[in-house]
Amino acid sequence: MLAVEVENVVKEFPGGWRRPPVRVIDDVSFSVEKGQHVAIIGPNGCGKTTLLRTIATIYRPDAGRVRIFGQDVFSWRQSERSRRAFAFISPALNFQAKLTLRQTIEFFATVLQKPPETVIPFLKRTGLYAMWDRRLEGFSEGQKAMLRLAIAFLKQPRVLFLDEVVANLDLSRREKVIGMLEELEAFQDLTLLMVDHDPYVVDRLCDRILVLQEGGRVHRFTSVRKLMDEVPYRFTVEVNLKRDVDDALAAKVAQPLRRYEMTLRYFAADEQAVHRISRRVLKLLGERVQDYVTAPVSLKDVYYLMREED
Amino acid sequence: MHPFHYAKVLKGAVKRNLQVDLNYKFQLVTDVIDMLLIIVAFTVLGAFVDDAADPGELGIDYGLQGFLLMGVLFWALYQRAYDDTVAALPEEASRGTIGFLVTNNVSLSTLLLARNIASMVKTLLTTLFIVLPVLLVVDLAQGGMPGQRGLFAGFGLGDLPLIVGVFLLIWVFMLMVSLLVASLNIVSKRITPFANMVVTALKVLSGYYFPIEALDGYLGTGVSIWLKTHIPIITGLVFLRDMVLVPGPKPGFDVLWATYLEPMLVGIFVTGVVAGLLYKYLERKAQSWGTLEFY
Repeated sequence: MLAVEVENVVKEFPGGWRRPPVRVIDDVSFSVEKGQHVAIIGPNGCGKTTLLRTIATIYRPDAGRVRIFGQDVFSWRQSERSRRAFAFISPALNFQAKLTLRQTIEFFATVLQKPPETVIPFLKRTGLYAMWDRRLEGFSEGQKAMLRLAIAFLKQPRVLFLDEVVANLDLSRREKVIGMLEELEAFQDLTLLMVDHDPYVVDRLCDRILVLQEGGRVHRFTSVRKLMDEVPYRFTVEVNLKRDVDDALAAKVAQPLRRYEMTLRYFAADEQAVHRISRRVLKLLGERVQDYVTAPVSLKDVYYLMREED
Repeated sequence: MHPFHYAKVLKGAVKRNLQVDLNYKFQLVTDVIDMLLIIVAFTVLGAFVDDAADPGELGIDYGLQGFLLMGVLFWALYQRAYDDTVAALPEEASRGTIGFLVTNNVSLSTLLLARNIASMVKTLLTTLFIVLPVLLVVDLAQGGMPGQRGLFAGFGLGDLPLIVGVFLLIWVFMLMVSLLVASLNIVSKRITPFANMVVTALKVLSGYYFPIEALDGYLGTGVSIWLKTHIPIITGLVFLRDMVLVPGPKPGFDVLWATYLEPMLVGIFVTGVVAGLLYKYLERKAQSWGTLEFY
């Protein structure tokens, strides 16, 4: 069963006085099966967030159609019903700092036509319930991120649109939010469409990826597993430098190598290659190494390699 | 949206606005002090002019002090709600709630209406418990006597239902004006100067500072009559002054209907249609231009 259908969507924004409009999304089509978790990825400015906001009806497309469970989200007759099926959460959603958590939940519960009690188990699980009568002005960014998700789950949506929900969070808070989502039974059942720059987050939460390219066109729509299988390596050795080394010396350690300023990333086909690279890192780069980490290839590597292809 | 659910959402949004407002006590106190300062200033100005000139020369049937203070009372009821409503969308946008609410079938007009109602509740309480008692004290201190002479010389309890009715009509009119001005906020940033200009124009035309008959000398004969019969807020303020300041028997309902109520209803209808069409057009444009959440 199709949860989200996007057909030939085009989105343009005014370019300014006597200038042509800027096309941000160009003829995008894809569909998401019920229960799939899909991430929209791509370079900066390729229209990821615009696409998500268009699907969530915040923007009106210049052409094309969007359906949620068969209901046209821009049809006068069906838009209200289709909006009931999804929740859209972005880090831009902030709260009245002077209101307490209880007052905030009560307001959103009224808007969403759900009893506030629906979300209490989630709040208890995240530890927010202990702050039930406290004003939000004292909440940390991590707690606000949890509250955004709480409001999304308060709606009990069938489709969840997340726009960089863990952006600006430090590692431990990000981990807490992701862990929380993974554990939720409700999260497992719903259809997810999310935008996130962080390959780690995408890797943890999604099973399919929609890759947008510059100009707002679909580059690929595939599964995470398939994308990973296409990488011809199994491991990486990431070296963080404390002092700069020239490219020739870095390349002498091993090939292939990808360099991102003070980080060197070597790719290895098997465990023996990992050991060989590690030995040569210590031997050739020695005290210039801050630390090095060996790990299986991740979506992050796919990102790097795709970026090079582009 | 089902009307019952709409009413619940509206009630929830009004409650949230009031909860937030009550947390900003400094603003509440300064609002009241500002109002009291205006009353003091207009009381002194009115008394000064009344001592120096004959009200008949000003083209009004009562003293300038009463004229000015009735204008203060009238605008005390509407200005805060207007200001708050016009500022509501940038406020919501700064909280990032607009996108969320729109995707949950809560329109911008619902947010504006909720903001307006919450401000009116606040204003009514301030007017009933602070502005009106202060005006009564000022009037009594100057020898006024409700129903006989002074500021409330023409006021009788029997007129109250009609006065409340006119108050409600003017509220609807100001709500439409707020919607009209706030609509521009959907597609354009920083419209506060425009919003101030509109309210200043309405204040001048409604006779907040001087009797609008004075405009005839500058703009031509009959301008004041045209304004009184075509702009509801002017009609409303003239009605309030005629009912409250002028002692003696009141005209019958048919005369009141033809003089005040009918022109007001027509003006409100026209303003409502214009505001509604502009709002719907700009809301759609904002979704197209991507300005719905940004101010």
